[in-house]
Amino acid sequence: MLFSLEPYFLFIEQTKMSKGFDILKANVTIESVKYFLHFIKGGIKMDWVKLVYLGILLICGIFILVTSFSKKNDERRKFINAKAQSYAFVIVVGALLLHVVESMFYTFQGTKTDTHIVTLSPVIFLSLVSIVYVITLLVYRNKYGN
Amino acid sequence: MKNKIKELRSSAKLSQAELAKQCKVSRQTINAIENEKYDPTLQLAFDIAAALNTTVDDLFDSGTNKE
Repeated sequence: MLFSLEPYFLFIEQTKMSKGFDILKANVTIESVKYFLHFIKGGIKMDWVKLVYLGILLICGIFILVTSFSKKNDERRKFINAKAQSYAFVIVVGALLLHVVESMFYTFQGTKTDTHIVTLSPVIFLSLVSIVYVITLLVYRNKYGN
Repeated sequence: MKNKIKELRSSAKLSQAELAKQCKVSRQTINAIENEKYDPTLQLAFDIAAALNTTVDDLFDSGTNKE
């Protein structure tokens, strides 16, 4: 779990009990409130973190595109790119396998909820793959003499 | 893989950039091969051998003992 759900449950319980707003009559599910609160909380407290995070992601993405699709690469550069791509692929497979195992675990345990989706956020997933790709690319560039 | 590219290139009075241009690769690739950091493909090995007027056998030492 990336964040604790305890404060949200507490907030929801307090909201239910308040006279001004009846959560059941307003046709709002607990899950949607949880996501809304998570979004609000993240939006207020993590603005700079998100900006830096997305900036790194963007740079990594551009770097990947420039290096992978350049037709001027000779055989050594293509070899280095292939190595980096294979490592990124291993990471993708590993992350997806972990997610499958996690899903199976929660399913068999009988505690699967929508909040578990947070563990495989697309932004985090893409960042992880991009960063692994770039690091592998730099390591192999050094190894094969650039 | 050990090779004699540097010696043969020097005797042919070719720079790394000139050899790279003849073989249609980057100078860094020739440098990496000379410094034994990268093993070229068969095609590139033949291209380098042709550019240096030698054979692949003479250019590269695989390290296996022949009887």
